[in-house]
Amino acid sequence: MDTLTTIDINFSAALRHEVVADPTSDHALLEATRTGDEDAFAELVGRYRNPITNYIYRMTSDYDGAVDLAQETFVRVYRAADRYQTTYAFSTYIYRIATNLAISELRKRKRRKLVSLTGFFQARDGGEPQEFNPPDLKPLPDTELVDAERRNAVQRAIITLPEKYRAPLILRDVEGKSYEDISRILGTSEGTIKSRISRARGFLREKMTAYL
Amino acid sequence: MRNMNCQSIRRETEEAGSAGFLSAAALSHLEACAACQTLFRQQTNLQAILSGLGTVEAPGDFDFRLRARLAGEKRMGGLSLPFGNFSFGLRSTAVAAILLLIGSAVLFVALKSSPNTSVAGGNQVPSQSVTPESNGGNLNPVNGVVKSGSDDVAKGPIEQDHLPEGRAPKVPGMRREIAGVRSGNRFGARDMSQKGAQVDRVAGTYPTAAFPIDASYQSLKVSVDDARGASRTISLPSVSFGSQKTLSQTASPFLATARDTW
Repeated sequence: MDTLTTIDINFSAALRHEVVADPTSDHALLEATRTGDEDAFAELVGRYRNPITNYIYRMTSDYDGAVDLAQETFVRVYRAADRYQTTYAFSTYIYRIATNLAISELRKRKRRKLVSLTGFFQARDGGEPQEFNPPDLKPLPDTELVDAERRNAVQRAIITLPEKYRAPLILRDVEGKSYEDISRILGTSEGTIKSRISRARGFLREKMTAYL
Repeated sequence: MRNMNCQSIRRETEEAGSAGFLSAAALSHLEACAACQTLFRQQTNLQAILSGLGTVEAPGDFDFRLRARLAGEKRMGGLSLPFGNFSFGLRSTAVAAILLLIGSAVLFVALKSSPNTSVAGGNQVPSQSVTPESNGGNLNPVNGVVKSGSDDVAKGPIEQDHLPEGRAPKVPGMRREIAGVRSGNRFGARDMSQKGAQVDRVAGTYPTAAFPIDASYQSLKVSVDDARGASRTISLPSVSFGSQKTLSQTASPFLATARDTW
């Protein structure tokens, strides 16, 4: 399979963690949400709204769409609060929902053929079309502008990555998740995650040579 | 041997990341190998850029919008479709079935309400018509023209079946007169067995309740209009209705007997 499949929400028993008795923990807040405590859910939203929005934005490169999907993520968490098992890490759970939504959105876009005019270049591995992003070699006068241009370039380069490479790379290098967490979120073995991250970095190095 | 070493060192630097610690062997290799050093530098820079992308923050009204959305979902919760949890295929089938049902109902209502294609079973008797009941049990518009006076009757060829008195019109096996109606591309049928055709009578010719005895010897003309401008007049042969003879109140010696008989 070339594309990353949508991940099943069910966790395996091997991934269980002990519930932290801390009343301010994610688990405790979700337990309170389950009993109808709206403030507890608001606290959860406050904790995760920025990371989730940022993660989905890095995946989709569409801010408004990312905000909508982040909201949908929290709606699903709220809806499924009764079914949530607090023996699992909440951050893994919510990132998994966000990943599924982001992947679904990317597939919808692919079906709608939303390809940029410069995106006619195929990936070297015969996968998805890659966007051609020629580096601007002209020197920029201001360091801040250089940094901004570099960030834009890397964001454009990330969005050209195939889904299966994009998600682990963002989770690892942007969100700073551990390999273990990423393997739980994406439902893949750690070895596979490491391999995909390595390949994703290789792709980016090739595209960002002028900036590195 | 050198390639093997480069591969293992690159794997180590890959997993260690920008903040990771490298072994002494890896550090010494990087000092000696320019290719691995370049790769390590590029990788470190790339990871620095990625980690420096920063966090895109949610908009200020994120919580408000989320609350509004959840409140909307709660309100809509009671109104959700009963098959809301079905799969896409089942939902599609259910929606298609509902649309088909609605379409059938609309079509049925349209056919029923259309004046051109009314369904059999109507019991309306046109006003000012001579019916078997009002005519002593026999319809005999002698020398008159039975024509399609009402709108209903005007749509097709009509024959009026004269049922014997006392027989219910809906007895199974009874011959029913069906008029075919064409309106546009639709075809319909009507049961006219219970309707009396409107009779245009020459004013003052006959009394309302009695016919002259020689009336039955005159021909009966039926004019039929098929609603498309074509009309046809059918002359029916004279029929003698002996039982319809109007008896004189004075001259008949059989009056009393006849009255008893009738």
